[in-house]
Amino acid sequence: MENHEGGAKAHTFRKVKACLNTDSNARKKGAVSILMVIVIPIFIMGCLLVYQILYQRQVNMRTEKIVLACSDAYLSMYNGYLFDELALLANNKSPGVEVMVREYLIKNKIIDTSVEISFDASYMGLDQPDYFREAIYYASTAQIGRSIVRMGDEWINQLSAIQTLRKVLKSYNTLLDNIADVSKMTGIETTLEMLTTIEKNQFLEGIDKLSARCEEEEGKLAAITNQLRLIESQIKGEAAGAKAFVDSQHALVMEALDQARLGIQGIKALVEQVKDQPTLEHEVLWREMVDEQLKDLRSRYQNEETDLLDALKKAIIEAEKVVFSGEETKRKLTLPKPSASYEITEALPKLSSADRWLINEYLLMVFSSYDENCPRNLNAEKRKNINRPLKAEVEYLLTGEVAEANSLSLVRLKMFALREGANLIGIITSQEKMATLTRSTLAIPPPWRQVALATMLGGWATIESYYDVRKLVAGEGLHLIKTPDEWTLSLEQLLEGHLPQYTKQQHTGVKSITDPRLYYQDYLRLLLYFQTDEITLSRTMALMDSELWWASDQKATLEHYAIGFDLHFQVEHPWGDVFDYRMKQSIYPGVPGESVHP
Amino acid sequence: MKQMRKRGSVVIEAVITFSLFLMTLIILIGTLMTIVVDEKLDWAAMRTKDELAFSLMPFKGHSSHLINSIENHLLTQMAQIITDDKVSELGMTSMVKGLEQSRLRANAHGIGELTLHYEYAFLSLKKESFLILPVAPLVISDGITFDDDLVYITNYGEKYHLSKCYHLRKSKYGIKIDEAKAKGYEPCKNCHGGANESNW
Repeated sequence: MENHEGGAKAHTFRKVKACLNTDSNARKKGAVSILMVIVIPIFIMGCLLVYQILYQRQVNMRTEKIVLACSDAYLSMYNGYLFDELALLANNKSPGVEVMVREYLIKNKIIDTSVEISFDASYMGLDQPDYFREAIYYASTAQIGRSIVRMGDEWINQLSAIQTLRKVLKSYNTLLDNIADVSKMTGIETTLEMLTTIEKNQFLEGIDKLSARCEEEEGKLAAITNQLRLIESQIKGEAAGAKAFVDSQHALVMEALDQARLGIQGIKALVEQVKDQPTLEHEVLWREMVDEQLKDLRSRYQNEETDLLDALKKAIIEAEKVVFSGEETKRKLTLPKPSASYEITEALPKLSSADRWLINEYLLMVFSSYDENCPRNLNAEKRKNINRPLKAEVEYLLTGEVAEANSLSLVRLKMFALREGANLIGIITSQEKMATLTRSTLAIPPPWRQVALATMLGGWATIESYYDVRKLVAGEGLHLIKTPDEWTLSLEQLLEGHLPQYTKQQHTGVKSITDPRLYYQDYLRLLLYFQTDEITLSRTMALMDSELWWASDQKATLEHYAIGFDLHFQVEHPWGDVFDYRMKQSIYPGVPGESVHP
Repeated sequence: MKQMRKRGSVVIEAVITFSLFLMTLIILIGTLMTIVVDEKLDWAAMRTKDELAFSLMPFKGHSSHLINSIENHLLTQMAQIITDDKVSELGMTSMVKGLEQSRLRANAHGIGELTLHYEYAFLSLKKESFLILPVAPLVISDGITFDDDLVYITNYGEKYHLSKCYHLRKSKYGIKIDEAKAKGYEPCKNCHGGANESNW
């Protein structure tokens, strides 16, 4: 019984154990299935989801980088005319930055070619006063820097040009020596001596020798002509500026050579005549004729030589003057773009005095004025476009008058007012002048004495100012408070009514920055400084607008150019995410530029 | 015996599953790694672009652009050297290969175009990637100077054109007519490239 029970228990145990073994296998199998069916796919899905999230983020970041690169590239591409002429860095609005951004988003397969992106791009146009002022502020630094570099360069070129001209002079001197040597080569002196000393019966022999020598000298003249041409071509090659000068001298030198040739030919003809009539009856006559012809030839050489040397020296002096004072430009006077009008209604942030001065200097550099050859014209960088609408551009900035005559008159009036004040101070502060005035009015009883004194003071200062303005416009410089020797009019002359005649003086042609006298351009500086920023800015905009209008054959204006942009766009990705992007960037650091990331 | 078979089957199943899982895991990690690599390489491209902005200055060419094939070759070499340098700086040299396919050439805007092309040096679902960026010198002229004798040329064309010629729809660079002739360009048969008309 016990055995039976024990056997039943063992069977049950085996059954349970077997059953347990089966469960363990099933569990293991189930675990693998769970891993395969649930865990791994979930893991894979999870990983792909993480990848998708990261990928989207990476695509957005890549888009940002592409936009940034496009922005940098777009802002780097400035307009050639504005920079070359006005040192202004500005970009053409068309094609805009959005075109480049779209192109590169497609190239990088971030969007498809069929996808349309709505770009909201606004540009910081040069036709907006605040952006325009920012642009000319930075342009002024660039222009001044460029001018300094150009001044250094010009100085070196001047030295080089003068050296070249000196070389030219040396070459010509050598040439002239050669020309002068013709007389020596022909042996005129010897021949003359020979003719006077030869014995009778030997005259014909002497004439034969002279004839042979003439033949020889003709060959030498031809060689000299070739040498001259060679030197000329060398000079023209070395210095383009010397071309006009060489050309002007060419005819002169050629004429001298022709004279030489004619002279020799004359002697030859004479010699032939003598040979044809081999009689000694007229020997004395022949001797005299030959003698005369040779003397004539010699004196002609001497005269030509002196003339040539003088002409060369004068040309050198003139060339030096041109190098130092610059050439006068001839411009057509036409009206600016009729629609150019920039009225600044909103108050702009105030500029510091230094900044205002900087901008004014820039305007004086890039715009021409009535007196371009003024020693105080500091612009060494000559404008390439000489066909600008106005000649008196700075005067236009000061008066707003397009007509040159009107603007000049108004500028003169303003200068007159400045000079009047300065002359009054000059008279009052001068003990000598005040004493003269007081002496002149001593005979007048008070209170009329004071009235007469004031009238004479005003009259003297006014008439003197009139002379001052004439002098300034003519290019002379005056101290602000004039020195005694700068006064044109004395009180005696004023009272006697003998007003001196003013004769126009020429510029010295030498720049002198340290000269304490004020010149025409200095008065323009002062007047520009006293003018409000808004007026100067609006007129500058109108002037540049008009210049662009004419230069581009009436196709471009300030509104076509910008110094920065504000770009906003949205990209809808295939997975439904919308990427919103905004970027505001400018060429100049002063203009608020920021990149607003999503 | 039957149990033994069942046990063996489970083991095999587990081994295969684990191997597949491991494989998948490696590929997935590799794929996730591509994001990191792309991001780093993007930065390398951006830095290359910034550095090239300085290097491109002497290669501005006649007026504004890069068209000379010799220059393009030199620039591509320069771009590759700088890219290698930047990739090395970011410690990505062992992660990518085929960087030598990167190049720099002129684009339709008259500036350079940097193409950074690379393959991943590890297992991933993605095999390769690229980034194309515009590269310009720090300052470059658009070549428009309103000169009467200004004509326009294209990236690959051998003719010079007037501004409005339809051949200029893809690329357009301003150049003086004398210079264009000197460089071997000929007038376009469509617009004749005349220099007397306004060319803007």
